[in-house]
Amino acid sequence: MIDEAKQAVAIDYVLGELSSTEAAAFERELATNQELRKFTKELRDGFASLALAAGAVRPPPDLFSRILAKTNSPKRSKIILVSFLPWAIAACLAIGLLILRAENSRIKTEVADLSRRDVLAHLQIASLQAQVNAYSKASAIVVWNAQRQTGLVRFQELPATEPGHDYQLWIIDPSEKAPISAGIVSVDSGNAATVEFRPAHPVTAAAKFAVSIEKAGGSTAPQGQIILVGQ
Amino acid sequence: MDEVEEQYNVELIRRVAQGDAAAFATLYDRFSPILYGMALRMMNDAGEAEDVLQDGFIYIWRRASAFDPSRSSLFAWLAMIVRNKAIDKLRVRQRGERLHERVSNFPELFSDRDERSALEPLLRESRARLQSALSEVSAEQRQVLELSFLSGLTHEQIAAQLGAPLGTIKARIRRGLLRLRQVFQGDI
Repeated sequence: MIDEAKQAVAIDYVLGELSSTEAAAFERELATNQELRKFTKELRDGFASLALAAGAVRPPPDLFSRILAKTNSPKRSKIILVSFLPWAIAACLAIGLLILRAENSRIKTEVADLSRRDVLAHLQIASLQAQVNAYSKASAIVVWNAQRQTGLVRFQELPATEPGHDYQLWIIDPSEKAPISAGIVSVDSGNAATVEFRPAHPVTAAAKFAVSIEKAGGSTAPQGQIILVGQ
Repeated sequence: MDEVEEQYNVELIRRVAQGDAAAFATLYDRFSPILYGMALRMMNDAGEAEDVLQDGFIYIWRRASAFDPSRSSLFAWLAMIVRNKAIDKLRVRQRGERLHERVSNFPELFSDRDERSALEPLLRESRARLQSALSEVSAEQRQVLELSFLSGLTHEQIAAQLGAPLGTIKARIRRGLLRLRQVFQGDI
């Protein structure tokens, strides 16, 4: 139980009202007092929630490239360097393939590493890749919680569907005869989407995830073109 | 925000900490509209808000490994970084009339100025809960909470500007913050 006096100190700490000496002393206490740490985390999360009261405004489109330029990201540096050379396209393709292979290998290693961590042991992370040229830039990452039977999928570079069609997410469960629908996906004007999903019925083992183009409103089984697949 | 969402966020920032520019782009795409909206609200100047967001994300890129999920949610960590960058700038340009403007002309909250910038569904849900929670506290508590967070004023400055005793301002902020803690306990 955190007494009122300690609560007051925690509040002043979160609000930045403590002197540097007081803040340092409080941080030492936080390091050893789990209950106080939890209380302070909840205070900070509650205080930061006030940011949500401000209206969301999309920043200027070029701001992210300005940020990247200042971060000296190694990947960014490579892009700038090669973009002015006449053989850039061929070189980029070759580098891109190498990066993709390395990235794929790295993600697999990371996922294997993650699965060893208790906190994420019940999570499955899948990287979905394009199956058709028209969607070659599209990608998605799925985080699936088998225990809770819920997941989150994040799409990037996925163009809007033609009128009368929808993207539909599927879970391939080897114990089922047909893929299980995980719902319809709508992308925003930035060709991105983040969707929390629940499958139409319980999934025993999610072997793969796929995205197809279906008629508007979705289908009970995939009928349209499969554009993304991953495991 | 639920556990899956937060674990996704933790994985995202872990990849940013490893220098993954794609993960950094995803993080930016996911959180920049609300963080820029907050910076714009605090600075009331688009150019300065861009500088704040830029400074904030450069800091996030460089210090991603410092994120500790036991100390705050990722959203709270990001919001506090950008808020602190905004406060730094506000304190540099701080003048008496500015303080007065920041208190008396504090704008209406909870309005997205750009429909395309609609929040992530889960952030939208959290915001609805915040709005509901703030509607339950007194107008005075709400005012000082919003001023404390979005104006960057110290308790003393808020007390001076509102003409209320410092103890009263502190008590209002504390009660309001404890209420927010209850609403978002184990959340965001």
